Formats: sequence, structure tokens, C-alpha cells
Amino acid sequence: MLKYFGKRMLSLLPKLLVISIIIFVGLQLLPGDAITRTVSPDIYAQMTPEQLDALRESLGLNAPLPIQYFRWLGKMLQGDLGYSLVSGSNISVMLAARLPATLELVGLGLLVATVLGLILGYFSAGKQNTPFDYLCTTFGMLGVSVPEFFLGMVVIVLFAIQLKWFPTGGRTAPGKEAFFDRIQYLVLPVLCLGTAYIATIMRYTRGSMLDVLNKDYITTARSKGLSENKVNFRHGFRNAIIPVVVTIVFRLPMLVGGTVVIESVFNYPGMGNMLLSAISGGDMPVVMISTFIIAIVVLLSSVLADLITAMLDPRIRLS
Amino acid sequence: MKKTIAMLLVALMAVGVFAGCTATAPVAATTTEAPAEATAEATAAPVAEDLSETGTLKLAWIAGIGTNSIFECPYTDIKCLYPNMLFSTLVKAQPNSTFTGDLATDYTVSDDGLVYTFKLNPAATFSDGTAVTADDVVFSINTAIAYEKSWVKQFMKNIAGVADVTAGTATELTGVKAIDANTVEITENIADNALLYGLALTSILPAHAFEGVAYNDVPTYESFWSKPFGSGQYVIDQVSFPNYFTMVRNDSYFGEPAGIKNVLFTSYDAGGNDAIVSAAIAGDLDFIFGDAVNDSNTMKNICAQNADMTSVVVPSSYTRQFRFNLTGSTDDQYNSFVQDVRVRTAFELLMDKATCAAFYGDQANAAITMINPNDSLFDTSLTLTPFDVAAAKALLDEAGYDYTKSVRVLYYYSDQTTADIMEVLRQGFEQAGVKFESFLATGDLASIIYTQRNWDMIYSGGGSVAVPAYGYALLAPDGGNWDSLFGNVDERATTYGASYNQFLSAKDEATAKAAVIALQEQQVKDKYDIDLYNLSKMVAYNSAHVQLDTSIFAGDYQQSKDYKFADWKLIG
Repeated sequence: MLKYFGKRMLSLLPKLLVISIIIFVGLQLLPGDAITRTVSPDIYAQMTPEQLDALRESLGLNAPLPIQYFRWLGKMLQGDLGYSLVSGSNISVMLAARLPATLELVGLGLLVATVLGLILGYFSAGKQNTPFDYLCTTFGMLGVSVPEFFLGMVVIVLFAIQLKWFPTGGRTAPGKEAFFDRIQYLVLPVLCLGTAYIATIMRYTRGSMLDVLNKDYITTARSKGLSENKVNFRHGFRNAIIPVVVTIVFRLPMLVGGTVVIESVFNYPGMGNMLLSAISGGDMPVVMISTFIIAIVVLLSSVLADLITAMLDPRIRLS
Repeated sequence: MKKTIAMLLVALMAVGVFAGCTATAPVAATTTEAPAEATAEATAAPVAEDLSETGTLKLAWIAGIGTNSIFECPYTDIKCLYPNMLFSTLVKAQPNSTFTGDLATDYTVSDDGLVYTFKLNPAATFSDGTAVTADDVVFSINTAIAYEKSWVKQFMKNIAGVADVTAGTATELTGVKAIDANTVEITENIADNALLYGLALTSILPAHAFEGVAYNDVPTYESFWSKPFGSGQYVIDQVSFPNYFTMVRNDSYFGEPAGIKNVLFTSYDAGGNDAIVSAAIAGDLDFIFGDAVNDSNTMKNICAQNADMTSVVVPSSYTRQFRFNLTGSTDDQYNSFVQDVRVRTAFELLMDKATCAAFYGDQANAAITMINPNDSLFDTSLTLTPFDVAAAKALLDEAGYDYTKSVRVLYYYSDQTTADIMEVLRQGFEQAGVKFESFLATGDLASIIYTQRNWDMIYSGGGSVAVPAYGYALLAPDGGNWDSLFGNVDERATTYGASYNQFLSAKDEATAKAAVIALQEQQVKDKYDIDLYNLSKMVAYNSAHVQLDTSIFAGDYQQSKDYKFADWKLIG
């Protein structure tokens, strides 16, 4: 197991390098640069070619592309994440502010969705073709069909504006830095985020459970006189959960990538919004660092999925 | 039976979802009317002073660079009130283009209009206790000029030494000097009273906080801008990037203290304009302006759902206009007929300006020139060009216009109203048989507009939100990008250039008005640009919570104006 884990970790390095080159090249294909894409035409009109050139030079945009890439890579390997071309902010500081916010939002959303999705999917499969099952199925369809932004706007109007139970958005306010004080800011976005996740996980779990419950070994377990609950949970659920776990694990990159729609609707300052702004502004250093982090998490999620699958299913050998 | 129950449950859930979409009664229950305009004074009797001491004024934190780890330098086109609260300027703009002292107790102008001398208030200090001196003023002006992304420097371009600093052959302006600790002298190459407006925009920074920092690096110097300080009526208290920051009244302020003690700025960087509108409806914002609410329909929606919000139309000479590319494009589809003034005149006859302005309701009026017809500088002898297809066609035929050619119209506003206006214009042009092709440009606008230049007309914002006549700076040749698009530099120098300089150097209102009238008449005559409508600005404030001097809405000088914070109070 350890040998396998070590090999997989080492194999991440060349993959990350290739990913970083692809992202860098992709960014160069976008028209313009951080100056022309973020300076209004009115201000640009007043800048002389010499000023523009001097600004590009100071930002390192005049250097050949390979030089720019290796300059960025070298700094990153030394722990210097650099500065935003658009705002001049230190990228480390930007990440330190945004990453915890996204971890909270998406982490809570994933946790709530996983627990509820698994429970609902388990019982829905166990009570197939009952009113409860129909309710869950309907909820599942609605959950994946209703767009997040629409649901977000509805809950804001209902719970924030009409009922005034929760704030319209944001993450915190003065005197509300502690996590439990900030819960009120998380309720609505987690509700919207979680709805789609719950529906997805519930549907996966139900489908997987139904598939497993039709297997021969389940019949054998029943014929041995085990209670229905033990059959469903110990024999059915444990086998059914494997594909669901893989689905959940591959949502982990969202913990750092964020979810742009939810962050925009609820004015939540997370990584997704930062990345979107950086892409539209041609802010290469921010885009590179952010996507690098996401790529690391994606690759680690893949390793984690394999490990968890092997732990859950003894038939799977990592070798 | 089971199916029936399931259907009932589905229907119940659907009703619950759609119930949330219904706009019901306004949030606040204190009033039932939504006043459409500001009155001379707020009618609500002010609550006792303690609300201004214990309550909090809630504002929006908007920054072009985002709210990640540093505050935005106020030398950009910043649309946030924090610089007005945190920093002092030499002067403040008042309605009718007059200026009063802020940091400067007095200023004089030499007879030739070239030398401005400012006396600083000796009691002025930064919030760290350091005295504000002439060196700080010199430092700030040099920074404002050196910073490439500076929006304010366009108003100070005639200070001696600007050309050398811009060209990179000098690091400091020769025309800005500290005569003594409390006296600053500014010398211009040509008399240009736009300098005062530029100085009203130039926040005075503490030079001692930027030891060893090059002028161009000042706006992004993290050590300062992570928690800046100034000599204004407020100081920054708590900062929580990227969420919010708070300000408290500066007890060592040299002038009249601010009326409200506590201010909270909440960031809407993630949610943008929609989040600001939601917050305003929910009562989470007390004063809003800028792109989020510069639309009368949005404002009506806010006021309808929150009766405490009062909207105000702020008169502005900001215009939406068409400018012509008179020098050609880089592809082979350029419509050279636009170089003929008869064709440009015909195009104006095909623009139904009244219909276009009507999209904005009472926020806009059809334009004749860059000057708002309600402004005192407007040339009242000029009349609105009517929508006249027959007259347009006659002119086009006279010019030998080739109707097989399209006129390519570039625009970069992505809102639906602009799309609707383009459609109205297209229909108007096609009534005369002129092919009208409009396209929305996104991404690298500077390259598309100034380098590729594959367009014949561009729909853009123009005029001036400051002094109305400043909009004519575009037509006076200045070596900038627009000279390469308009061409005819010598001709424009003798017409627009001469009149504009006359306006800038005018020492009395009559001379200034004569110059602006000449500019307008020239504009109507040669039509390098055609103004479609003047668009006033919208501001909203919570009149049930805040009492302020509504005279601040008399003019549109967002960054430079005197907001009279000393008169602001929290009343509910």
C-alpha cells in the first residue's frame, strides 16, 4: 500500500508540469493581456505607446513566453507565489483570504449533501415504490433540474428579503468572525449548493443500492435468517457505497475551485469568483496558481478514490 | 391513491418554490410611500444625536482591482466613497464648477493663469499625528501623474514637466514645488483651469509612508494600501479582506468633524451589481451610486420593494455618443463615405434620438451636443436634429453614397438597453436603405478600437461627468489615440483646440461660455462625433435612516465633490 501510494505521488509531478504548461499556453491564446483587458478604453486612450511598453516591461509581459513560464515556475518552487498583475495584491494573501471561505462553503455543502444523500438514498432504495421513495425521486429530479442561480435567487427573496431570517449575502460582518457567528451567512448558500449535491448523491446511492440488493449474495444473506436491516446495511450498503464514494471524492476539487455561481449569487468571496475574475482580466499569475492548486487536488482525489475503494472492497488490490 | 398523493406533494413543492418569486409588500413597515425625488430637506425629525454615535452608516465597498488584500488607490476612476472620507484634497468641487478649499485654506492664480499658489491649513495632520506639509502635496501630485493607470492626470496634463515624466525622461514634475512647509506652487505650460478639478480628485497621501518607493509603485505599495491612512474626516478601523472594513470618525481632523461616527463598508466584489441591488432592497445599504443603480428601472425596482430608499436623479453631462473612424481600418471593409460630412449629417438624421433616450425614462434626454441642455453652458440657439429619412436620403444621394456598403458600428456595453438602441438605430438606417451592422466588442477593447480599427462608428460614453465642457478635450488634438482616428489634426487644432484652450484659460464666466458655445457650434457643423442622449446619474439613499444635505446632488462630480459629511446624521 505504501509503495503504491509513493509511486502515485511521484507520478503527480510530471502531470502537474504538463498541466501548468497547457494552462500557460491556453492563457496566451486569449487576446490582449492584463493591461488591455483591464484598463478602460478611456484610460487606454490617454496612455502613450511608451507608457504601455514601460508598463508591460515592468510586469514582465514583454519577455519571451518560455522565459515568462520558467520565471513563474522558478518563483513558485521557491515559495514565491507572486503578485496579481491586475490588482498588485500578493497572491499568498489572496489565497489565505479566499481559500478558507471556499473550504467552509463547499466543505459544509459536501458534508451535508453526503450525509443526507446517503441516508435518503439508502432508505429510498429500501422502501422502493413507497410514497417516501416517490418523494425522494421527485426531489432528486427537481434538485438536479433547477438551476443553482434560480434556486439562489428564490431563497434570497424568500428568506433574506421577505422573512429577513438570513443576510442577503457575504461571509461575515464586524463582530461575527467566529465560525458559529458566521453560520447564518452559510445557511442559504449551503442550502442551494447542497440541494443539487443531495439529489445527485441520493440518486447514485439509490441506484447503486437497488443494483446490489438484487444480487445473489443478498438473497443468500436473507436466507440465512439475517434481519432486513442487517442485510441492507452490512451487506448491501457497504457494496453499494463504493461507486458513490468515488463520485463524492471527485467533488473534492471543488473545495478549492469553489463554485462560481453560488459565490456570485450570494456575494460570497471564494476561490471560484477569484479565478473567474483572474481569467477575464488576463491575470496570469493568479490563474496559474489557482489552477495549479486545483490540479493538485484533482490528482490527489484520484489517489484517494483508489485508496478508499481498496479499503472498502478487499477484492481490489492496488498492485 | 399513491399516485394522487405523489402528485399533490409535487404540486405543493412547486407552489412553495414559486411563492418565493412573488414580490410582496416592501420590507420596511414604517412608510407606505416611495418618494420619487429628494426634497430640499428630509422631513423626518432627526432622532437624538446618540444614533449618529452608536449606529452605523452602511456603504458598499467597490474596487476595480477587487477587495483582495489592498485598497484601491484613489487616482483611478474609483466608484466608492472611502477616498472622500479617508483623504483630504487641496480643493473640493461645488456645483456650478466652483471650487472651495479643503486642505488649502486659500489659493491664488496669477494674472496670466499659469501659476497657482495654495496655502495649506497648518492644523492639518494625518491620522498618525504627522503634520500635512507641502511635501506631501508635491509627492501626491507626482504620483498621480506618474501612475500609468491614473484617471486624474488627464485634468493636470498641462503642469510643467508632465511631458517629461510621461516620456520617462524625468522622474519629477518641474511645475510643482513646495515653497515652504505650508505653501505649494503649481506652474502650468498653458493656462488650464481643469487643474483645479484634477486637484479636487488628487487625494493627499503621506509621503513619509512611502520612503524609497518610486512614484509609479506607490498605488500598489502593499505596506500602505493594506490599511491606508490620510488626513480626512475618517480613519480606517477594522479590515477583513475580502469581506468588509470599518471606519470611525477622525477626532484629530482639522475641519468640521463628520456627523456619523461609525461606517461599515461591505464588499460586493463577488456578487457585483446584483448583490448591491439585493442588499439595497433588504435595507443593508444606506447610500448607493455607480453602475449598480445607474438605471432608472433598477432604481424604481429598489424603491418599490424598499420604501425607505429615496432615488435622486443627478444631472450629468455624461453622454452616449457616436464617434467616427475617419482614417481607415486594417481590413478592406472600411466605409470611406463616413469621411464626408454630408454622410455623417445624414446618419444623424437617421438616429431617432428621442426614442433612444426614452429607454432610460426620466434619466436621459435627447442630446444636441455634449453639454446637457439643462446646463448653463448649453448653446440655446441649437436645436435637436429631427429624425428625417427623406432629408437623410437626399444628403446621401448628393454625396454619391454607395448603398451596397455597410456601416459597421462597434459598441461595448453589454446591457439589453444598448442592444435595443442598436435595433432602433438599425431600423432607422434601413428606412433610408443604409445597411447598419452593429457588433458587441468584448475582451481586448483597446486593441479592437485603436489598433485593428475595423469599424466605422463607435458607440461609447463621452462628455464629462465633471465640468461639462471637459468633454471637448476629446476633439482638441492632444497626440493621443483619438488623433489617429479623427485625423485632421491641424484643422482641429485651429478650431476645437483654440476654443478649448480659450475655455481652460477663461477667467470669467462670459469668456468661458463664449468658448463653449464656439465648441458646440463647431461640433454640430463637422460632426466628428454625434451625441445621442445625455444620461443623468442615479443615486439612492435610505432616507428613513440617513439625513444628509441634498444639495450635494446638484452636480455630478462623484470623486471630487464635497459630500458635506459633517451634515450627515443617522435618524432611524
